[in-house]
Amino acid sequence: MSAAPGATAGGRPLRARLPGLALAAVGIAGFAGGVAADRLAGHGTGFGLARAAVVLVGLVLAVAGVELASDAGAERAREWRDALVGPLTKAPARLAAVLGQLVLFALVVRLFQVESPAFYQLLVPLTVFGFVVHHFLPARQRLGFFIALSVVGVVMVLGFTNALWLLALVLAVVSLAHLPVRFWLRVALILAAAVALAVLRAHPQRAPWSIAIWPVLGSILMFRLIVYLYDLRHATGPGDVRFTLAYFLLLPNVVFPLFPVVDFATFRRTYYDQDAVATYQRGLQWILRGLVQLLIYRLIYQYGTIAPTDVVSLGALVRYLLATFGLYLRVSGDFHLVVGMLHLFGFGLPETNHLYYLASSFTDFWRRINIYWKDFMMKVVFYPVYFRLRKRGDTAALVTGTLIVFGITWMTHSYQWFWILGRWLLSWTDGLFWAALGVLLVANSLLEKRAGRRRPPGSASATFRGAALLAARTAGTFTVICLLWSMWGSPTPGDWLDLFRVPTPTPAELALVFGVLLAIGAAAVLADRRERRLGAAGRAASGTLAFGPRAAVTAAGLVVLWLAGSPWATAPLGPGAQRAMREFRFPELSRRDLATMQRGYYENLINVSAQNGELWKLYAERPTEGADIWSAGVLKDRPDFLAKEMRPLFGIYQRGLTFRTNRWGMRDQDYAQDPPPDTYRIALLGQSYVAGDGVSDGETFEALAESRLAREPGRRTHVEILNFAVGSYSLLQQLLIMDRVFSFHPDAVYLVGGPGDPGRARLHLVQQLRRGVPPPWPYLQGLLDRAGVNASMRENAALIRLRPYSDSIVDWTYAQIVAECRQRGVKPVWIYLSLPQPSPDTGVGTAMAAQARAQGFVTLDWEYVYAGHDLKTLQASPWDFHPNAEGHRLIAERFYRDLTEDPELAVPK
Amino acid sequence: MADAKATPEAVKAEVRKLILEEFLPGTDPGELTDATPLITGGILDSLGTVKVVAALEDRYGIEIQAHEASVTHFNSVADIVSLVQAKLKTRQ
Repeated sequence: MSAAPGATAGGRPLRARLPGLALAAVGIAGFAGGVAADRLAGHGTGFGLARAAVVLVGLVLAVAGVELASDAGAERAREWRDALVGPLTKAPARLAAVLGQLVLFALVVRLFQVESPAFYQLLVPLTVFGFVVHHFLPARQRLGFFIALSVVGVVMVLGFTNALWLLALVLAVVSLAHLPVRFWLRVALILAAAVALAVLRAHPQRAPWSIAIWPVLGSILMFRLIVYLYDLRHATGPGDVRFTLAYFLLLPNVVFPLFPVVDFATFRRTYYDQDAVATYQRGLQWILRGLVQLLIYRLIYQYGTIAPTDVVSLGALVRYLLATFGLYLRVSGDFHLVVGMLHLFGFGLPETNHLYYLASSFTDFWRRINIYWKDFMMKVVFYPVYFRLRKRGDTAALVTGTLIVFGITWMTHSYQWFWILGRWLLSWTDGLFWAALGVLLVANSLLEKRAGRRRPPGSASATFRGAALLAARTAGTFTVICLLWSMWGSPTPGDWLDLFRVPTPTPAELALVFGVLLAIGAAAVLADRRERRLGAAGRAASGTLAFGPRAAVTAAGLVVLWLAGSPWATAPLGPGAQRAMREFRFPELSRRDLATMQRGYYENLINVSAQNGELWKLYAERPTEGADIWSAGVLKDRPDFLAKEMRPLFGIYQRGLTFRTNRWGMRDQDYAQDPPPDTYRIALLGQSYVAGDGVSDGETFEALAESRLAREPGRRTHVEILNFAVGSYSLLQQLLIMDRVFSFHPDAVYLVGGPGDPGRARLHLVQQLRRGVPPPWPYLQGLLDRAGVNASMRENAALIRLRPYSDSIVDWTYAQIVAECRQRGVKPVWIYLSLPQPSPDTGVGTAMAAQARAQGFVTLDWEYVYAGHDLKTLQASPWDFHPNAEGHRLIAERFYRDLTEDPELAVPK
Repeated sequence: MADAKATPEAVKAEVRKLILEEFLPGTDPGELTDATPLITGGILDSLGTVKVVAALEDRYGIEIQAHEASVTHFNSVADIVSLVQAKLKTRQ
């Protein structure tokens, strides 16, 4: 730091420095006080917003004080004063407009609960506060403040301890890139560190830090470090460590594990390279665009997505294809939000995604979707390969470079999920998707190369013929990408092909297909005409509007979103609209993801990716080992149709819970095979949540109800409840264990059913058939024959064929169980109970109970047993919706009441 | 082929001609300014960039590295002219 003009050789007298020193002392006290207050308050995670603000303001005052007390204090004082006063005197209305939109943004994300509570409760308010302070700082201090703000954001979201681990790991790895040794040795050291981290990622329980930091750590380092090293290798001047820190600690990253691959050179180049307020406004424009995309995504996710087994017509196929491709809006929306937020701190980064649904060729698609990834691949893979090979001919270099790009993209896709989820997600369909896209892109590039001169952007639709061709090309590209996207989301190529086994389409369905393609083509023509109007400068700046209209449009958009989500604004539309909006504002897992999650409990299916919408976020928090009781050895396989059963006298301590089975292989206390005298015995059948997955021994609802009955004063008959439930058992398996159940001489059989029962019965039937074990009942074998299902069929295809027979399977199974009970004078009772998870359907319990009653069961409907409680407080964990101890307590209360009060059950006193 | 008399103006004229002919056919030359964003404005993509690289190398006898084929050096006519001038200076 140089001395200010006019300063004496010996520096300024102490008296002149005192105000600065006092300010610094106040700042340090504020900073330390904020941290101490947070620690003393015993806050569970990290800073609350108020304390974060105190800490940041303290830091700013400390820096300002030190600068004012320095030899250049007078000059610094002018600088700070100009920074404080300047924005208020130069175009204050523009700044006020930006601030107003920012506040609207904060209101909208809170109203719609965008992303996660960490985002809308912590990070967005911190961003609004940080933006104000940041803008009123001298330009020299802004980058440092952004780093401090990002660090505080990490502490707020992850807590002190996790934040310290995260920052230490990031700094340690990045420091390796700056060791005073040869470049390749630094790369080797970083690779060694990456291998060590990968080993810990695969076994996170061995790491001394929380699993919560892995997705963020992976997201920060997995690609950005590669870009950074590349730019470091080719840097021409000395680096600025502040840019390095800011680059790796980008504020929004802590809540967005799927983060755009920001280019380091672009990050530096675009920092305040244009008018500051115009940059902020462009950021807000992209934030609005991101919000709109995320809300459309939410609509698609909640109401558009269907399971592959629901694709039974061309209409359903079109819906499946459109919804699957539509889910990319989530990534695009997040990226717009991220980059928009970075604009608020001067990083005028380019657009991340641009009208990718309207691409007119495969090369055009690659240019428009995830632009940062394309640029990353071009920079570190394509150009190095191309420039190395071009002496052998342009075509060879182009083809080789492109194919290598797509091969690496395929591998890094799995690599990305490894860091986020701790598992490699390699599949044939993933490989085929990237291979097909690579080949199409090569073919398209060669055609463009042969065609020679390129058409200027926005000129394709200048004539009617051109517009028609553009529309046709866009509709064709959209169709192919939709098909490829659906293959990407399928478990196997065969499952993907099965989607297309739909009946002959109806005229209405054909009209639907034509209408969709026509709409896509028309939108492409309109977009092309807009591109022409914008020109190159307009395209680069995302529009040609002046600040005022741009701000007005963005503010209006935010106001519309805010109004649309405000309960008082939707009140006049009636209770139906209010309920729909409430459901929309508080998003939950879709039917498809709930089904995948249910199946994942038992089959350890972790087939998740960005295409699973919300599910991968839950699984990112899930431990890779010890998460699932059913794969911990409690189940043993059987060669017959029962497929599995619980081991007797098994015990395990996992996730802080005990899980033991008695000598009969029940998750229960020990019972004699014959009931003692004066005992009313109930055999309880069901799945994992009845067996008590998620609670310790003795905490299951049946154990609680049983012990409460035992404590009941004046009871003459002892009630025993034997728990025969087994994780993932379908109705057919329940039927198969009836003989075993009756060997314990129950007075009543209580079968607990849930919304997944019909699907699970079909699945068990198909899975056993495919492993060569046909059902032991002629009725079901006949039904399989009628449906045309055989052992060589793929699972999804067989499930689709069995779909029309769902009710028949359930009815027949219920009837068998009831008949067997009646034969032995045992009372058959059917209970509806689901997990404490948001259900897209209400009234399922009533409908299913009616079905069970029709077959002769006495029925109990516990659909609303969790009513009035926050479901999240009743779940075993964020990634496991089985009821926890409190959930079981609620169910036990209901069970006890029914057992003691329901005359239909006729439990003796 | 190398050109020893490649003044900035001459290089600029050559670059403008190349861009207008290959990437903006039929466009009013007045619309292409020194600062018109070529890469971020959607005029040059990766294939376009390597085409310009090849043309410049051929015309001026310079060698452009893979890491130089970036938005820093190719986003405008002015950027390209600066790169060519710097390369020519280094060669001298």
